[in-house]
Amino acid sequence: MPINRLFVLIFTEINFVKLYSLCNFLILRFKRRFGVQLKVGCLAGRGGYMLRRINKLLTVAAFVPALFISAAPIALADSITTTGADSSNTINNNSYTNTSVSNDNDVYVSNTSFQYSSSGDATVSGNTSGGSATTGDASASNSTTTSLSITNMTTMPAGGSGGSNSISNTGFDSSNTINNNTSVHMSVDNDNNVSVKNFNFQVAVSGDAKVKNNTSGGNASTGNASTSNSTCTSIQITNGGSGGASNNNACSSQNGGGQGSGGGNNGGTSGQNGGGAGAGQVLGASTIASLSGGGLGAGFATLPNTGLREGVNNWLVISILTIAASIGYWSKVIAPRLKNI
Amino acid sequence: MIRRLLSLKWRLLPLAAAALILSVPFAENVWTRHHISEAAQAAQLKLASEPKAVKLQGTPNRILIPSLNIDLPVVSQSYSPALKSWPVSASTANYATETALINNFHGQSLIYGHDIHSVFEPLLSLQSKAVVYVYTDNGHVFKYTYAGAHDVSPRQTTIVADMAKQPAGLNLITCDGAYFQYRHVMSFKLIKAG
Repeated sequence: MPINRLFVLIFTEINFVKLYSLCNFLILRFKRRFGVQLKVGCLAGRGGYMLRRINKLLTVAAFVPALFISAAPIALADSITTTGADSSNTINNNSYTNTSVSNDNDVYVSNTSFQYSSSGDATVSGNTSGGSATTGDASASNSTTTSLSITNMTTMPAGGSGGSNSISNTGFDSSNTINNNTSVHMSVDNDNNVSVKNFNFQVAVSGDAKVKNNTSGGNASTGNASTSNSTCTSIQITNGGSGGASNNNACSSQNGGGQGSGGGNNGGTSGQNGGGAGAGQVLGASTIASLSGGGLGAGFATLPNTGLREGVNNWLVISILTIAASIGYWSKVIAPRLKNI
Repeated sequence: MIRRLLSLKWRLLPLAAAALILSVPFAENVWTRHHISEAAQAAQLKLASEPKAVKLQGTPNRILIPSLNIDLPVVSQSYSPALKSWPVSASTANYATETALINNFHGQSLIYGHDIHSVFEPLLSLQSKAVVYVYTDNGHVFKYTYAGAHDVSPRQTTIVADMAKQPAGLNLITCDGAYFQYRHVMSFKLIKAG
């Protein structure tokens, strides 16, 4: 029962009590003054309408503390007993529960990885005869995993029971009615904002391989430089009802993980997995001197690609335009004047 | 007729200018031939004056082929393992640093260039006994004569390894075929170095 209606009812019944007292007072004064007992009025109310209203007032007033103490849906109980003939007895139980839930989740994740891999330089310089220099490989790797689970669990409130209402011992031809109205309203607002940013920068630099100023050959080779990166992002959001959220293990599984079971009856699970891997590699340089005819054929993928389509020869275009302009000039300017001379 | 034309002398100036423009390529060609001829003569004189039996070598920086009117600078290029290709300059000849330096004792050098008219395209019509002069950065001049040519697949990289085993000489490479599907390899035999 809404609070405002309850208060209206209370004040209405209080007025009836006042009216009943005033009625008795006037009848008593009338009897003392005129010696006549009136057969109508409020005396008839002892077992009639007035009494019922007073009973009702007391019943309602008894529930007021319980209404404010209990947080559970209210199970109102009302009873009417011992009414007169041709009476109309009505009990109205109105229960209204309004629940509002707001879940606002804001999650921001930012992963930044910078990798630099560099192999050293290899130089063979100033030797009378050969020599070699080699530097090792350099590598760097990175793995970034972001697993995120958000669970918004909300239990739907149960509807209130009709309560224990009774109308008994009513008079002849009375009308008895009990109305139980239970209303449950629930509002759930789930606002999930998830932002995951992965920044990965990779630089792989292979060193220089130099062979210079040697009387006879030599070779220098530098190691490979490589970087690798793997990124896995797993997001699981459960806006569930009574069910539970599953584990978010998308990144831990070799197969990319799964979503698991969803939320409860009134909810659902949404998830997103994103991942990737990247790698970069710069092969080392190799220089082999061949001052006395040394050289290498292996290691070349191809011979020099010297094919190139030539564009239009500028002089050819200029010549054609010049000849065309000269012919036009001759026919328009020179030839007519030669005829006139 | 000539008298009538002369009466229009000022009106003939545009035509004279046009003739001048048309003559520029011809003049340029004549001048280039003259210049190359003089350079070849100078190289020949230098070779004639140098003593024999001296080991000479150097990085090439100029190639001269008088019969084809070719006179180009040469830049050094290295094979790129990462790109799996050779850099090719658009307007000059290219020396493959992985091959022997220009020398007069062992190993053949490789110089390559684009198959365009201003670079190595004229080489496809090279005649036997043609002479090539190669200048090095340390002032030496090497004279070669044309020995023969053959087309190979771009994948036939073993010829580069073979060059190291050969006597002193020179190889020029340019593209051939409608789709540049061949590499035209021209071999030159060393005549003299100085």
